[in-house]
Amino acid sequence: MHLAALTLRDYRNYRILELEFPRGVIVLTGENGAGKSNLLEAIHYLSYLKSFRTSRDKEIVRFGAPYAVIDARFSDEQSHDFEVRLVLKDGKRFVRFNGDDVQKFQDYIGKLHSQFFFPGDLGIVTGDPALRREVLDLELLRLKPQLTKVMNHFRRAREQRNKLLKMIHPQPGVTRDNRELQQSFTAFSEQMVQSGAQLVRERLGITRVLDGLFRPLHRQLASEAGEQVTLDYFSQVTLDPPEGIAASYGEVLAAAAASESSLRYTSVGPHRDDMLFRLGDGRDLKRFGSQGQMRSAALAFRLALCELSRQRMKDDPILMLDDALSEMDDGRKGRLMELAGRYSQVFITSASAREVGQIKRAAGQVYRVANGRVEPY
Amino acid sequence: MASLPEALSELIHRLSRLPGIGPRAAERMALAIIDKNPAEIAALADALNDAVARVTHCPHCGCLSQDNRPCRVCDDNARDRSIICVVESPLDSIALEKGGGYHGLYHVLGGAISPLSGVLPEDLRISELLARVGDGVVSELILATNASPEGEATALYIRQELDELHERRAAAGSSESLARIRVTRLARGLPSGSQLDYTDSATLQSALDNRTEL
Repeated sequence: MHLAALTLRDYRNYRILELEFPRGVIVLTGENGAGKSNLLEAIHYLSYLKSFRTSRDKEIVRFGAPYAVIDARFSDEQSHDFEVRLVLKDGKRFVRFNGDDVQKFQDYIGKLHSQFFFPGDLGIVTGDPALRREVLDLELLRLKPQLTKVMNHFRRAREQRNKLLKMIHPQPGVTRDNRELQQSFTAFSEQMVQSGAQLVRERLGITRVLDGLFRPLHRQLASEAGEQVTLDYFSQVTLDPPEGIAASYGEVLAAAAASESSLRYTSVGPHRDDMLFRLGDGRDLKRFGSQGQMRSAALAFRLALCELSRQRMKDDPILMLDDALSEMDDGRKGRLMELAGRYSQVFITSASAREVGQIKRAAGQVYRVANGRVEPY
Repeated sequence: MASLPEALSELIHRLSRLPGIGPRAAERMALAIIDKNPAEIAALADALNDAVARVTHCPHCGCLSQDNRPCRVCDDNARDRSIICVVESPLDSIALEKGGGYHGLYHVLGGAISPLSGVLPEDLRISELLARVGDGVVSELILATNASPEGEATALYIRQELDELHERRAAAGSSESLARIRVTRLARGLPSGSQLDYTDSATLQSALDNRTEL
């Protein structure tokens, strides 16, 4: 996948900006605050329909303008073109994909694959487990779009089950004696267990694949020599053997019955699982790792996601490295550039002239960003 | 719609409240209706009133029927009375009838258990089903509820109820009709014309589980 053309109207500091991009490594340079990251944010927004910086779309519309528009043309490895128009207006988003209005954003997200990294982006390691579940599920859906049925089945069964928990236990710890409700509860629990177990099996599978891609990347990029980090799917349900996941899920649920009677929601299942980054001795990276270790792991994980897409879907995501080189030594910079150079299109921002000098040779194009304008350097 | 006569906009409004009819389609339908000759429209109006007044649910199975009589399926002596196919809505039985390969009877539940929408087992025709099953004639129940969480849970619920009914009867020592009733679920598998590598793992697994002799 690569971005062939991008037009921004009233997006952040850009009144109007029209650009065409080649494949390969693209370097954006300019002072801090010039708007380099805003460009990457727009690409990220096209991929995920959200910003990596703000949850408030209003901030994205240029001050005083009624709405912001992003128009983009993408091209995949088979030279299929995709056109996207995104309008942000009054806190609402309107998306057009190849001329059709997108009704369900869920169907759109993931079509344009990009991966984004900036040095402060430790969220994938340190953030809420929901973030990592979301990433795993998104990758699963890219690989097997039909899994959306399983995910919806699980979510719906869980919602029905939660509703029944509240009906059976009108107050925490109070239980109504109602056979119909109990039997319905058993039936929806079974539905949740079956679809939930399938989701866990799929997540476990993709975590193992990602772990295999992640380890060598991490070895190449880690600053501290010899450190090892692995990816590990974490669940209260016993994961081994995979055929036993449903049975184990059922048992764990049964054991949680007493606590669920006071919680009145489903406390066990894939909606509570996590993917952990573990240090060589098995300890959790986010609790026991250094900032540097977490940073390397976050970057290697982003690259592992790129590799997954490249190997399994024969489609390179657009890789965006925002100021990612600034805190690396020259050896790691070189290794990262080497890895990045394999992808169809990579955007790298840098405020440092020295850095631009170092990577210029690998870059297809260098742009200078200043005063709301982007020009070839 | 200020420019339209009130009676016309009222007609458009009524039509647009029907499923599948948007404001544009309602407008076209309404204009077509007032253009037709009066006899035809009177016939349409009669048909509307007649359908509402006379279409009822079959007292046995809950399928659509007329004037409170048993439906055509229940009324047909050629149908196999030992098999009941349990469906959520009358539309489901119509779909199965179109297939033409089923010769048993139906039972319409009137929906599926959905606590979130306020539908509980007592709101469905489950006790009626259990009463039918207990008559000694029925030997197989096909649970053809939807593959949604609600449909699957409803099928499981009925299964549990049947097991309990069986146990209660056994405990009461009543021996008639107690060859345990066969309970089946519609097979889930590959849609015709589909490709294996595009099929999700759950569907593939159930297709494998339900494979048939060639």
